[in-house]
Amino acid sequence: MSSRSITIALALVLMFAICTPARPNTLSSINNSALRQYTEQELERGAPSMGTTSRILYREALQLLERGEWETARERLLLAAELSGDYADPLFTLARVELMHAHPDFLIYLVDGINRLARNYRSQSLIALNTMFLLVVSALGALLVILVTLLMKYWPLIDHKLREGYRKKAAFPPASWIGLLIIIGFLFMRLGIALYSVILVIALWPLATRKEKGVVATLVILVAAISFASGYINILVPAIDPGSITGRLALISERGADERTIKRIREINDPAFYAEKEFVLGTSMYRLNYLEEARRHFLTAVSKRKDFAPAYLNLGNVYFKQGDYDKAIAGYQSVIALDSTNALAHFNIGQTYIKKMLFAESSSMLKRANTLGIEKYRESHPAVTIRGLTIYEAELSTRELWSIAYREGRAHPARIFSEVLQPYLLFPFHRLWILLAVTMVMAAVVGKRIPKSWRAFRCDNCSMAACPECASSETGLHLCKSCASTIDGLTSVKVMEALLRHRRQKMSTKTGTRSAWRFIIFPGAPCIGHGKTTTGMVVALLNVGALMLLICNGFYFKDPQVIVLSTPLWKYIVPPVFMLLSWVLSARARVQSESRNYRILPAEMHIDRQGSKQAGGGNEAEKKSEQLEALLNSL
Amino acid sequence: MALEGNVKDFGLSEIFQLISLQKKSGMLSVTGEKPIVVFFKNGSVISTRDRRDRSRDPLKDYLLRYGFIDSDEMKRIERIQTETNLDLTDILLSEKYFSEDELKTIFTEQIQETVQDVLSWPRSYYKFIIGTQVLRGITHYAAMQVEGLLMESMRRIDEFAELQRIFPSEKMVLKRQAMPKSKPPRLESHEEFIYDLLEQVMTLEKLISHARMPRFCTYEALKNLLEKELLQIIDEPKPIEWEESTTVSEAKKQRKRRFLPTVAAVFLLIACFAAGEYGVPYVLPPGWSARFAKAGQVEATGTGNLFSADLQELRLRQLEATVEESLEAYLAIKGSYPFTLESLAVREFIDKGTIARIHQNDIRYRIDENGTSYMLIRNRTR
Repeated sequence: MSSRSITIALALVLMFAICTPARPNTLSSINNSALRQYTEQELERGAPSMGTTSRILYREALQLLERGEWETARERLLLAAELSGDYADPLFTLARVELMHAHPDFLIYLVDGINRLARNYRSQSLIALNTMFLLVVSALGALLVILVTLLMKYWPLIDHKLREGYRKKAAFPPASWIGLLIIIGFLFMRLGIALYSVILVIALWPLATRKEKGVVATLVILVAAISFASGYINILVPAIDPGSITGRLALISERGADERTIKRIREINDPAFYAEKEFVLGTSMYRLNYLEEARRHFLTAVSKRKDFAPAYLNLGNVYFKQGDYDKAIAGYQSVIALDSTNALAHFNIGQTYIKKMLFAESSSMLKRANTLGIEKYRESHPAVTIRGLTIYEAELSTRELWSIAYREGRAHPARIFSEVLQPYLLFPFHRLWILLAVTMVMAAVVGKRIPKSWRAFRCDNCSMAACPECASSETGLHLCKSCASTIDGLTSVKVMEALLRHRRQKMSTKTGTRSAWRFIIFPGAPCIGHGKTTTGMVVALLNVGALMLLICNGFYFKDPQVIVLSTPLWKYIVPPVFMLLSWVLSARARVQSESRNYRILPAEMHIDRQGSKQAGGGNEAEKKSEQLEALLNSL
Repeated sequence: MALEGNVKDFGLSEIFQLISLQKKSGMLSVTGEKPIVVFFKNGSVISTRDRRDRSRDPLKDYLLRYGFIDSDEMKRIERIQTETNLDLTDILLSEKYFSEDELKTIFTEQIQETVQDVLSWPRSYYKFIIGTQVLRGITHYAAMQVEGLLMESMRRIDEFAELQRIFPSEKMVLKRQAMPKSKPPRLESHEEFIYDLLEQVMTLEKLISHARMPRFCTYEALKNLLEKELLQIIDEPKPIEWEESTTVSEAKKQRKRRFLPTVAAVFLLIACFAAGEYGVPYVLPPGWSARFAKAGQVEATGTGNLFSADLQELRLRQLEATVEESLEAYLAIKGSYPFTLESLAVREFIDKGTIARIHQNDIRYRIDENGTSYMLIRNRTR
């Protein structure tokens, strides 16, 4: 066998092994004739991407998957992914299908899907908006949970002080009712989460530990920061508002030109967006082949905005179609003058040079277009390949849409978060930062200035509530009334120690049993109650977020353009898993064992007693105890 | 091996003597009028306190019965004992109720009286468990020789009958006589203590409960005082009736302290409710109107304002966009728009809830004759 035949054989093997079979025309893969016809009409109307067709195919693929016909479903999913450059769902489902069949391609589809989400203005803003909202709700929810938990933790102290103050003045209602009556009174007033949080922060600040203050302050700062920035959050709203200027202008990147779309664009009467409106109208006319009208719109657009590169490019396209190649090149050159990395302009110039028989220049321009990423444009605009266009048109880029959304959002005073949260906060969210700032200042002042006689503290022995009025400090410890009465009249240190220890154990068992039930109220609460404040905060945040996802069946703000097909499985699985996790973390929270001395009473008392006991022994015993005391002090 | 039997067959005094002679250690439990235990160590009686049954501690009964410690104090000691697990004697010593010598005397007297009681029982059943193991944890302050213990017990049993004849009832009232100035009789320490106690007229029962000595000793001292003409027995006193001292004015004051705060509390709650119902919505109107106003009351701001200033308007727009998207999908598949929106729900382009929301918001759907165009009508034709 000659070397030539071996080479041919090898080449054939490699061809069969590596090369994929050529796919037929994508549209011919659509079985439904009505759908095919609709897609063709959309292409004729200049749609850059067949979103509706893609969604229908995706829906069919899901139905096929439900029936178990995964291979046909896979074909449908691929087709759906090919027809739309920015619809990510088919790719994610493909990734899942491939993963379930242990095919390594799942990773490619997954990455591709994420890419589509990341480069699309609508999904970018939708994800950002929902993430911010989830963060706000989680932070507010966690703050409320933590404050309620702290209230529960410090309620004995507050209640004790209330009782002590009230008991002297009246006999009925019983002093034990007063705290409850105050809470009922506040609940009756229905002040809303914002004011309740404020009241709780101020009331609990003097009692909270440094760690607890840190956690509360963190959440308050987080909420305040988002509240302060709520004006900027408006720039995310056009993604969910089909009536917004940005939403309307973005239609040009999503569908073909039709009367309905043109009418909606024409309704825009804000002079700030006149150039963009003219550009979109021009593009629509260009797609419908009304070239003269399109030229007029583009010229108006560039006259309003001198740096409007897409308008120059599409104007060049109009001239190209009209056969005026020099003007077309001039238009494209204007684009390159504004943005030298514009692949479309280079590509279109290359095509124009071909028309002018300037092949060398054309080749150089096309190479440059290739380097600048014309392939990426083709990938995200499948219609370009299907229609076999000679020159490519520009749309409003993601950056351009963000800029429009920014201008539109900043110009309007209405705040989306304020409107959504107001029924629960009963306070404008965009002003909440002021309220929270004032609250923190007030809390700090109250914490510092509160008189000592108003303060309640925990008994040094049993950790029950005590206050300067009722506590006893005869033994050198701040003992509550009960502990003091336990050792009242006793002289033996041994007996006092034993009695105090017994009471401490009894109270510790009692409070331990009570706190074990705290996690039933809300995950995160027991962690806070047991001093693991950071864990508590994370668990509470996690749980509120998961709860929110579960209640809203995914994100709160939905994309109105997505037809509800079925709820993806992750929406049922992920939030409950997170909730379960937070419950498990909460249930595992245990009281941190305190390293409390076995000896409760101060050392001096022990030495004194020993000394007095040995008093009969004479001066030697006294000397010994003094020496021991001196030794202890020196240590 | 245990030694056990009936007192009728073999007297307890003999058993005591036997244990003493043999210098045995162990526990003798006697069940008669009540269960009693006597601990022996090398033939000597060391304790009669059963550590297994704290509720029937003979030492505690002894201390209470003869006024060493009053009932309130004893309750406190019992509580301490329960909470600290300390022995009664430990608490008494640590809290300095008695010195060690005093406790030793009390302990001895208590053992003496218990043994005296046990020996006086006509019927009883005894069981002696030999071994030092049973003595573990026994706190003792005295080791009494059995011989002396028995002799003294027998003497007391014999003499107590005569004493009871002189003092037949414990309800009888005793009064001391003045000490003759010319030739005062010599009094023993017990007698002197009893004489001092009788400074006030009291019943025998009360005297015993304050005498801080065994019953027999009190009787004996009284007998001696009687013989020395320092004591007089008189009639039983009438009980004093105590009147309720609560005055009417105090009750009124108490009622007033209850009434006013109750009214104030109820008034405050009503005020809070009223504030929540009327005041807070006035102060915080936006949230309240959004939360509590009926759907119809929140009017759409109109499509003229392109940015959704009102959430209700935004939701309506979203609803319309969803319907439009579904209609477009229907058109793509069927080639024409549906005659009614319900067809979208049937084809599962939108759920029934969305259709219900469309009707709820009074959005009407109109289609042309060919089914190639449609209108969604809200406040104005779109």
